[in-house]
Amino acid sequence: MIELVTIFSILLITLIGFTAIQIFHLFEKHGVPEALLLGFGLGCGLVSGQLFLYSVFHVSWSIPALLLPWIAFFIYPLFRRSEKFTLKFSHKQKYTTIQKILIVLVFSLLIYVFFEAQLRTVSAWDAWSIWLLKAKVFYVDGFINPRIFNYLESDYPLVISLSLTFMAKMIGSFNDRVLLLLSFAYYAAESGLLFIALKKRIGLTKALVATFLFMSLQNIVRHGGRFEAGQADLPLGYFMLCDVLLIFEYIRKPNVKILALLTAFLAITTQVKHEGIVFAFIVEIAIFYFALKKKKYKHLLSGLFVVCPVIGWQIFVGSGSFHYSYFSGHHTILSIHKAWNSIIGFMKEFLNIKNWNLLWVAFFGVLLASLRCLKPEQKLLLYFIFSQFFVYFLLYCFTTGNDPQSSIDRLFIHVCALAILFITQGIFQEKGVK
Amino acid sequence: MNKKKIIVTVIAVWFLIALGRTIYNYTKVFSQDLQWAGLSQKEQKAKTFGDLDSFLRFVDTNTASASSILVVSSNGTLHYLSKYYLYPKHSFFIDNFKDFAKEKDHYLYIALFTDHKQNDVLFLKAAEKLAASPAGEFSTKQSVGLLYKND
Repeated sequence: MIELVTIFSILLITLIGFTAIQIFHLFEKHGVPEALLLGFGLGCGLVSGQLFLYSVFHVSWSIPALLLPWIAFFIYPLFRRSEKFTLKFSHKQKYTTIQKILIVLVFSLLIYVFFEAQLRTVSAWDAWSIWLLKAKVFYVDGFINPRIFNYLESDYPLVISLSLTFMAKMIGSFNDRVLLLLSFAYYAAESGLLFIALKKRIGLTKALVATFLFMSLQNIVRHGGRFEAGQADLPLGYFMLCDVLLIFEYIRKPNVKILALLTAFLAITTQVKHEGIVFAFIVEIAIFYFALKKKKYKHLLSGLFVVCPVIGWQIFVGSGSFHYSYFSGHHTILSIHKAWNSIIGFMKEFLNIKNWNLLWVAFFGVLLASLRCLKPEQKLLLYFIFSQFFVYFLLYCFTTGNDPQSSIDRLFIHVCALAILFITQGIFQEKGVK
Repeated sequence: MNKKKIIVTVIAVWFLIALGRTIYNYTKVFSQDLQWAGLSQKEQKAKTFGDLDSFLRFVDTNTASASSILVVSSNGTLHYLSKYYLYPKHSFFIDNFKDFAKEKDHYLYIALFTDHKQNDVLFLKAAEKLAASPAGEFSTKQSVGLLYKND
């Protein structure tokens, strides 16, 4: 029963995000599955924002208080006469035998990870020492006490923990086994979004192959439902994929609605993990470049909306006299040994077949083979992937307490879906995205 | 062989590895994973965290609600695990005797834990210092936990 309520709470979060996308027509001319998969992430951001604002304005986190605004939100489109609330599903399609086999493989992975996510209690260190710890503390307290962060010794932002708290509120208890279903939801949503993006670009069969290759990466499987479930790296990977797909969309059609959705996702990305702030900054540079190129000067203001939650969060944490920060625990240092160790760490992970199968071998193979004839999206993907790698490399080189051995496998999760997009565009003929 | 053929070969090998691993994962469900399915959540936690789970349950049961607990151990896992298990009780972790001497009077409870009881200097010295008023004891083959209450 508790599993069903948990699934219901994830569906509710998805519906909230989906309704926001539909009401504001943020993602027109796209299918319902795509809007639902984006809606899940947007919903996580919205319910986290709701809990945060309720806490700031001393509103109770009771279930009626949490649900009432969303019920009004769901009903609103029904009362707007002019509102076209259309659901656009794609046509029925006949599948070839190979496609049917691939669909079975993809679903077998989905079922496996779902099953694994429900099999055992939380065991990953970061899961219980950061994300679930915070979620439990907020759940027990019934609000976010800014002073508690000194006790928790962490100022990581709150989207993951507050999403878990929201789910726990809906469930009515803090059960860390069923809450791991959120990790599975991110696994499914990232895989689904990647599949849709690939299908548009390279066709159904190849998209199914590439999606299967992504979903079967052991590191992704572990974070989606096995011993590493409950951490924030897979969610960050999902949000980074959303950001990239939306900026591709924005470059094709630079309209305000897509930019608004992209900005919302970037703002949420900054609140998943600190690494998300770096990525949002990297994407913002690309937005600035394209907005200037297309003389959409007003679009430059979108960056302000991405900065707001970062500053707001720092003010909130600062109001509780928080005396830990990332750099208070990781002092800067200049060391050749660390730089060398970082290079070796990256090389080892690129060749770590146990975690990544042949993902990075194929990635560098495609990169070398198509260096002189890169497609525009591939160039952007390289910019995103290598900028992010570069920042991680700098952190390993110049800060204490950070070394590739402890975290590089998790950091690669952030960009591995982007690497799959890059590889497929390098070896398969593009259909021309509509 | 041109570059594209090499890359397609890499992808084909990758696909075979992925397929093999997916099948292997399913075989593990029956050989390893199903043993988790029959366990209660309490048993799963005991299996995951071992004696740490038993110790923290012992501390939770034997301390008053909303109390502060000083957890003393050379096992660093207890630093955050005690916070996770015991909240809303507040736990504070130390792993050296110098801090112990300084902090021991500031908390309602003091919980000592070792998972190598024969040669844990921190544990033995701390226990010796507090031996006057024990509030409970937890013991397994490899671990010992002692709980004291400050008056």
